[in-house]
Amino acid sequence: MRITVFPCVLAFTILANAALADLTPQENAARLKQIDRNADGVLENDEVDLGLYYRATGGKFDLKFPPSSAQVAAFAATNAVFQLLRYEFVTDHGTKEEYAFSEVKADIDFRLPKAEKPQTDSLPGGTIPSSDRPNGKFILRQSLDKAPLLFDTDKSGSTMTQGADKLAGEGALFSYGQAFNNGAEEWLAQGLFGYEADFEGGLFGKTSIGRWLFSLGFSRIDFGGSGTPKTSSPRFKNEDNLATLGVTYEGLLNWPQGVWGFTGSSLRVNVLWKSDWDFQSQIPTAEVDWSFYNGRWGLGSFNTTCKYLWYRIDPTIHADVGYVLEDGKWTKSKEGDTFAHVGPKIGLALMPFPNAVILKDNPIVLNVSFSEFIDLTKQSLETRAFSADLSWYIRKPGSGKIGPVDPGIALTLAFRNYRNVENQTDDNSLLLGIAMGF
Amino acid sequence: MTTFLNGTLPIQKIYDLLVEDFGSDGKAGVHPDTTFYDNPPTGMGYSGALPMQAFLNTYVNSSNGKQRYNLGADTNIFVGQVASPKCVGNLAALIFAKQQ
Repeated sequence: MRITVFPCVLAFTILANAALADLTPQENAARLKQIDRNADGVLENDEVDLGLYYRATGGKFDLKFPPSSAQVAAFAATNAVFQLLRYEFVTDHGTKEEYAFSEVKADIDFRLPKAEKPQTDSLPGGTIPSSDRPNGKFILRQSLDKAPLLFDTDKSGSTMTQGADKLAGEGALFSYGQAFNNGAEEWLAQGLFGYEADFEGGLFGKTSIGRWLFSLGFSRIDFGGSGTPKTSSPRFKNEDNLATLGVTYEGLLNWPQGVWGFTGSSLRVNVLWKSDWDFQSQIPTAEVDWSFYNGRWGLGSFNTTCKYLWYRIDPTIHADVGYVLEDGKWTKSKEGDTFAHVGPKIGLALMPFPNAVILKDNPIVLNVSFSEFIDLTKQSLETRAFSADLSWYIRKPGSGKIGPVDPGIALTLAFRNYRNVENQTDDNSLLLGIAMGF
Repeated sequence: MTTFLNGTLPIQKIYDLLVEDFGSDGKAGVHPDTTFYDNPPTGMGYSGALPMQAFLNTYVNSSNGKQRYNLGADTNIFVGQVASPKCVGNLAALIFAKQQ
């Protein structure tokens, strides 16, 4: 046993350490030449500033057409991130007239890309943008999970501006379809209209933050025409519809705080009135999600103290309770049923070997989520979900040509094990594949 | 030196304190341009504003934190007030601006 295990451990250690190696001196120099304005093989202070400018602006300019020293100096005078990067650079390398290429690391100090791949975005401004102050706004999205992130860039909103196809993926959808071969028709309206109001302070103390979200979720599919596929699947009836009125309160609790590294927790309460467009079903429901934060343990944010594995765990305790006032025809529950569940929702994100050369620019991220809600009443229906997703660029398109083509290759893994009797979804699948395109 | 004599912390000192505190919260390799919400190495991978504010409340807005960062008793730092991009450097700039 010892004979088998030892060579494996040794080989693994050697491979891991080889993979964690820095840029070669040639690659480092090739990258640094992009900011060496006078091409003398060393970096003077204005060239260091150019590199730090590139980093502070997130690499949003073409290194073939760098800004002038005056432009960099003007930016440096007002930008706190640049000033602190300069401070960090001097702390690491000392104050000098010039720095040899061997002293600085192009990827670590300046985040410089490979020399043959310049960026093409336009030159950014030099002022600090204003902060996102709490305010309210109306939203129209495809579902509740497309609501904007609290106090962060509205990624779903930004995505909708990137292309018509992206808008179709994030926004509410109203569509009409017809199959010409059999005359089947389908009308669809699906989305969520809401008003979000975020705040500082609130119910849980002066330093809490949170938001109210008032929403109306709707989903309706009507089938018509001569070729309606009523018999092909139990899902296909003449129509399928759902309307949900909801009020969400989400706030930060300063408890537990300061104990074993905990920094707090958050409560999210959803009060929902689930019905349909004809108001035939009436199912008032309340849901509570309680999440915990402890960066030291990787709860709610990544723990990056280990060089072989970075990880984040998102642990939530979920509870819900509801009563079927009227069942209508869109639910499996019966009138008078009371349902209640309690159980964990756990998300896990793993980034193995984050410092390895092949993974530095292209990290593998494995996302796993699991939830299992225990039935608390006889009428409750089972809810379970397990999913694992991984995708990794083996080769990014734009990495250079292989023969006449420049292929992008990605490895994908998707595993699903769902069982949600109430919503009639059941899925058990594993998909492992390689995607390729050029 | 002047800033020390005036009783305010220089932004570099505030940044060093933040790096130390983020270290206590399990974050290594923190730089001025490290963002709050992106996955590492670009960011620290906070899953949202709530865990980020929880960090601020523990390390900056607590009575100990206010003393360390030279903030007034009624001054609180909120993640929504940090300029975009939401990163460690801009957080340091906000704390620097709100010192007593």
